Amino acid sequence: MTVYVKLENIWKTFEEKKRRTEVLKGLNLEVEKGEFVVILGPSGEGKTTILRIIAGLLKQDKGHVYLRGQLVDDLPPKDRNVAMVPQNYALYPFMSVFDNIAFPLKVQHRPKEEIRQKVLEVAKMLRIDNLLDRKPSQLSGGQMQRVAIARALVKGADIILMDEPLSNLDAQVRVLAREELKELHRELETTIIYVTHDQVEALSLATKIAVLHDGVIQAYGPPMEIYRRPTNAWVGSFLGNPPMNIIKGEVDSDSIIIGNFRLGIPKDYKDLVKNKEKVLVGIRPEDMEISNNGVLEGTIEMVEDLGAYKILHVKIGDTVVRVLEKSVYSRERGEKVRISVDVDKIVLFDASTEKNLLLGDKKN
Amino acid sequence: MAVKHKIFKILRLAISYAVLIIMAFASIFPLYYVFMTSFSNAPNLISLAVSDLLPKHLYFIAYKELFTTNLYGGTFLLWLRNSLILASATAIISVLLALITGYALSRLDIPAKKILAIFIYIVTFFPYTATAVPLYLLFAKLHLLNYIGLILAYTPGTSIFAAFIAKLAIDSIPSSYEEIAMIDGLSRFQVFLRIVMRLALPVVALTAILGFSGAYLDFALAYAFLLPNVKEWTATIGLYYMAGLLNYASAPAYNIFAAGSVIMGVPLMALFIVSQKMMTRAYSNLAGVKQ
Repeated sequence: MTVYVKLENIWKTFEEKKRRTEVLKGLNLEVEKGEFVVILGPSGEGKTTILRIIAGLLKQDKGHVYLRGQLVDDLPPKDRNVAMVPQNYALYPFMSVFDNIAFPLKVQHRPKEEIRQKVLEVAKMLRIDNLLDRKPSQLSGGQMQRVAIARALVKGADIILMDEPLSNLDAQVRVLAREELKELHRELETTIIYVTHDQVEALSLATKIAVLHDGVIQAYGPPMEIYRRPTNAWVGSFLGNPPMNIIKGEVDSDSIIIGNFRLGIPKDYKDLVKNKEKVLVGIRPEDMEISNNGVLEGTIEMVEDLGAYKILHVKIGDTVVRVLEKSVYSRERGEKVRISVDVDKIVLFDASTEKNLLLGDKKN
Repeated sequence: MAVKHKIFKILRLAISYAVLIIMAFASIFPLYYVFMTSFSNAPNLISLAVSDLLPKHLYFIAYKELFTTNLYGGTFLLWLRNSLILASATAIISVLLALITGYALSRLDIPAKKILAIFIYIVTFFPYTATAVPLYLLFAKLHLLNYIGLILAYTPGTSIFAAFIAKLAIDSIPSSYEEIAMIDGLSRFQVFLRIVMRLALPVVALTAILGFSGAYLDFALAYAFLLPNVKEWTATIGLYYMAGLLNYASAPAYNIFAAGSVIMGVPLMALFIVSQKMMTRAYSNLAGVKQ
């Protein structure tokens, strides 16, 4: 596998009205050829900024951008051979769908016949060949999104940047569009860098997720890998809905003390923890179960009904944990329950650095 | 109740229509009057009796005279051509100047941007004719009392006002249009010409009209700048002398003056019709972005 897009120690600061905001603080990212990388992060953390830096629309303050193994820091956007699908699609309102899709080719002064063929080809692939003579104002949101993708595909760029292209669609169309996008990626094998704050989108689309927070990539890897073994407590609580429970605890010989209760040490961590070490215990809500022989004991504070599932907010000592339970039993506020925990799925973080103890001391 | 309601409705409509008809008459009548005068055979103004408003005969004497007379080596057609060139050049330069300024104020990171924008806004309040005398003195020193000087004098008046409107218009265009075009292979200036100007078409059309009609209809500055050379006269200067000085023994020949006005009005009207279509189309298209 070759590294196709590489961001090396990228720094970017914005200055507005004498207020400086450091958005990217030494960000590193390596994307291999043919991958579908989703950059996931809260709003306003610089996700779009990353795309704009890759495309060359913004210049980073420090650091380097490599595309296809070549340093492109001084190349203008037009010479980087990337394509982009912006959040609002930006279809030129004064051009027909055909002219919109053909625009990147027209700019390159390709022969007319070739343009027509290529436009028809991508239009067929995206099933918009019946819309070619319409104006963008006559399209639905889903159709606009497809036209924008067609325009990105038509010039044959092998790196496509997508800035929340599904966020303007309504829920039903979005699920379909997600599947189509995945299918498209499988067929074309282009490198896609996709930005979103929607973790469902990230988990379902990505071959690799890059979680962005505090100006750096906090975790990078296959979605389920990050989900099961978050690199730090923040990633654990950001990824997943309901989020991971992070509880303070202390190692005591072969168990972890949480308040008045004791949990076993997960097997992956047995050799890593020291006695009396303070840790943060990460437990996914779905790895806990209400059961009579559970080790934790608490009172239900709130019940969130999601239909097939309920989220129970259970107060244990002075922390509240969320437990995911199938809606089989009815639960009441104030009910005393015991909770059993799937111990081997627990993740332990260092109490001060909040890093996953599995990662040891090595810097990520 | 119902009857009262109906009467009120009719009354309301009657008043609106009365106002509209009076307004329409007030704006159409002068045009009609000029038009009729141009077909008169007498050089004086037609009298304002109702019977005279529908002429019994149409005479083309005024038009014939207008197109055949050679005054000090210049002809009306030559002056009209000069005017059109001057006005078109002013319009084009005004559009470019206004939109480039508006783009810079809206998009680029330039120092003291806000103060500059406010300054431009304030400058638009000053009457532009107030600058005629200092402009003449300045341009005389610079040997610019010619077309280039005139264009230089005309454009700021239009484009400083239009620049402010252009800034507002470009502010409302999402920058993703430009970014996508740049990624797809255009340089920043090409994007400005092909995408921004096109998206800001209403402002382009407005600026073009302002620039064109300002230069086309100007008399004072053109008179001050161009008088010595008859071949360089504009249509307004030419018409002034043709209608007035041809028979200076008597009163000005109003029929010739009117005929010249009608001819001069044709390009202006064409420009208005075209730009009006452009503006409506530009507005109805402005839904290409999903917000």
